[in-house]
Amino acid sequence: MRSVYTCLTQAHDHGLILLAAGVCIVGVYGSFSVATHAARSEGRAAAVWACASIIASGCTAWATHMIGLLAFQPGMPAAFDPYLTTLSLMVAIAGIGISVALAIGQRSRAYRFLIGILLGASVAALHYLGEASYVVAGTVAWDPHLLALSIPTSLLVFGTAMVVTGERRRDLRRAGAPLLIAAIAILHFCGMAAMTLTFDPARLLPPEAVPPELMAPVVAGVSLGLLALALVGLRLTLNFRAQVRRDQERLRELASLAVEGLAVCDGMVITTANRSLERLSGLGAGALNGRHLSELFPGLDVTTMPEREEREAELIGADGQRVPVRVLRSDVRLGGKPQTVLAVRDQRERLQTESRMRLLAFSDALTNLPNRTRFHELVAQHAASYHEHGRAFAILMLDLDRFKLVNDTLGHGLGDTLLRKTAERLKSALGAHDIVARLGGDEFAVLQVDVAGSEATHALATRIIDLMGRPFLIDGMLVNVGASVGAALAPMDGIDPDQLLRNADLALYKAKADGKGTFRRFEPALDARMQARRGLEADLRRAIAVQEFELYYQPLVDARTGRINAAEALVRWHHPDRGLVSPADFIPLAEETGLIGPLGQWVLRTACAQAARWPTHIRVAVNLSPAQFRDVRLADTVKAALSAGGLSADRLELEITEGVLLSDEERTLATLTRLRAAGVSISMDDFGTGYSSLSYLRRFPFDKIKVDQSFVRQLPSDPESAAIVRAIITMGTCLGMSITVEGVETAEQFAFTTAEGCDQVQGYHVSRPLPLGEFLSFVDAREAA
Amino acid sequence: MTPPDDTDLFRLVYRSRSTIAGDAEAVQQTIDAAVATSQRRNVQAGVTGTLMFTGLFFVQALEGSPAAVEAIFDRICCDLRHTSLEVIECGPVLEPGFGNGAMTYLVPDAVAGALLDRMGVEVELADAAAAAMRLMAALVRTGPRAIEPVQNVVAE
Repeated sequence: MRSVYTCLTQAHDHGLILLAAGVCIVGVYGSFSVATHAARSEGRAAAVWACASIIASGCTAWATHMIGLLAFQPGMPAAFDPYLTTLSLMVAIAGIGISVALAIGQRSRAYRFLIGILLGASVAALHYLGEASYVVAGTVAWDPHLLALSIPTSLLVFGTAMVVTGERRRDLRRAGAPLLIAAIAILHFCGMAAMTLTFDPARLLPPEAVPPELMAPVVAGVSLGLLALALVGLRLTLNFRAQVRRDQERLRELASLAVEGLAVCDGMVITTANRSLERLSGLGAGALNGRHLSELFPGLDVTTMPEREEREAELIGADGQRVPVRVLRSDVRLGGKPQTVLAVRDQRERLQTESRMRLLAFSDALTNLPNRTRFHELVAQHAASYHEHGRAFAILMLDLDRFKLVNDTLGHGLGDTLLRKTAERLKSALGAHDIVARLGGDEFAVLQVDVAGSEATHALATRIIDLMGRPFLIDGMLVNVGASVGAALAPMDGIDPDQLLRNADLALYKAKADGKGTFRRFEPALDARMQARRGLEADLRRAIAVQEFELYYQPLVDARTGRINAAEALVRWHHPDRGLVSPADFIPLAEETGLIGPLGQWVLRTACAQAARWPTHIRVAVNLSPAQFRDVRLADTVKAALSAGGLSADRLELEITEGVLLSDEERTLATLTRLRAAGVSISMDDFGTGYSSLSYLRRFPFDKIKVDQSFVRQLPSDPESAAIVRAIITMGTCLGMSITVEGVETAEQFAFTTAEGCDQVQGYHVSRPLPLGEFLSFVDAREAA
Repeated sequence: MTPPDDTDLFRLVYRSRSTIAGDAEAVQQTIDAAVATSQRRNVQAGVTGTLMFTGLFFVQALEGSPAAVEAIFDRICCDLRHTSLEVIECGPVLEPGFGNGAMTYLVPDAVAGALLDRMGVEVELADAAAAAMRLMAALVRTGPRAIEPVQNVVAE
């Protein structure tokens, strides 16, 4: 070791040693920067820069070595063998090139160590070839111990240096270069120290040997080349850094344009954030940098969040304000290293839109009250939780009594204002937790909760009726509407929400039927009545389809001869379960539901068809309801029935009541005139009841008047009844109309009416209504008598 | 002397029956509070007029722009402290009949009060309306002590 120290301090020109070190550093820097650039480049450029880097490293090693040799002061003439010198340079370049080529992409440490040994071996080869090229005028002796120690040591250090260079850890990687320099230094100076030169004037320098004075410029040229390369490398590095900065700036600009908030994180710490995130958080430029994610998103563990999967989170802004956001994590390589990028999307607008949409879907736009859908939902919820709270509740249905009139006469704008004001009044009638909804049109409903008893519901309904009974002032106009209320109480009137709503509806229906501004609570009878009605309606529809009806005929006899000259057709319904159903039970329903149309048509056709086979002097009388008169095709229907049945028109009598004439008189009269023109005769039925306006008799010349049976019932004992019947008979005769007296049940009544000069008699005294077969037998029997 | 902005003057007079429960003192307290609220509200809305409470009936006259009167009347109609509300007069008028100042509150003395109460149940509505109107206008003009005109008014 001492010889190594002596060698360094005494046998070398110190200036040149420093120069060697300088060239080495410059060369290494140049090689590495160019190599880095090669790594960044692609294709041909990468290969060219890689070759340049390898050649530069070989040259560095060689030049360092050569300057070292030049610095050596052996104290005797020395020169360089040009061939060996050139060979040493080739070996250095080749050795380093091969080592580097083998080292690329190698992860195995053992492999890298072997490459290090190879590299060391090539440097050693360079060194000892160089030594061999160094010829002196003397003899060369080697210290075998020092060589045996220094070469393996140096190789080990080379190997270690290569292992360390490939490591992931930065601090370990940094140790690579010093280790490499140490290895070279050990190799070089130990090699030099192991060499002992003895001056021998007998030995002359070979003739081809190049003297140091000539070698120095060559080495200097190579060194200058290295310096130039280093400058190129520096330039490339600076360019690259500037490029990276520009790229980052551009990236940041781009990121700041993004609507989403973006944050680049190193672990859980934000390193960069864009402007959107600054705005979102309310933290100024740069204030986000260095902030821990848990401060911004409490409870959100970014590290365990799966990549590319959005998470709902809350962002705590500068003023402590909580912003609902969605966070998306993704791992990207930025500037060559993996980083976490968080995309933060503001959810406020979306949530607002959603809540507005929900509001629109579940509320009435005009009054802002809950709509039907929402109300049903609320009732269902309340009914479902009844089992838990066990408190009674009520559904109140109401509608405005005169809303349609107001809307039609004063306009929809005013109608809308009225509905809005109604909503306000209803709200002020409610208890704190009650809910009012607008179901549509002028229909409102209230869910009254925690009902202490039916009195509470009654009180609420009374309040509503009172408030709604007050006039509304709209645009200087006073408008009176009023409301009717129906209510169903849970659990007494049902607990199923649909049933409750239906029952409240039934109660409202009843309230309206009973008069304006009334309140009715549901009672089971309402339901039963409604059910019965619905059942009957369904039955009636079926009955019309399958023809469960039959016509009975009640004979009418000539008051003077006693002969049957007509029969009134009366419809009977054979209900499969209920037996014979009275017309009084189903005709009004048929009229209400419009089923009277098909039913009346059937009666007309059947009566015509059956009467066509009777003796020709017997006419048939058929009743027409007001509903049938609303059909403008009535006259055609009658004519069709006559021709289908083959009955001549003069054998058909149509009986109408005053009710027919009450509505739309003009049209009714036109229809009657058309029927009369076809040859059909028209009778005024039930005369003497109702309005009995004599003007009808003047306006339309009826063929016949049928005196109502209510006058006949007390004949002949009651003088008033007798006087009325007598008067009608006289009047009819004067007007040229024939008179029929109905409901004649006794012989006395029959005698009275015939004596008074009436034309025709009908009633149980003659016969009750008979089925067709019996009627025909009855006719036969009478004719025979 | 009608100011130009009075061309758009609207008057509504109504009568209603009080539903305020409790003894006379409690009732009076409730009324006072209600009067204070309505005075503030009416000043803001630019509505003038007068309110009279007889212990059984309210009679109130509202005067102002149609929209303001409508708004105030809407609130009155949502009030559950009275019932059987009937409008006595409603329409545009040329000049205020109850002064231009803030809503006044009239306390009729026993005679006038009894007359008013009787009016509510006995006299035909139209007559009652006219009578109440004139009575109130008279009270406003001459002060609450004017008993004499009251009898004349009702007797007319």
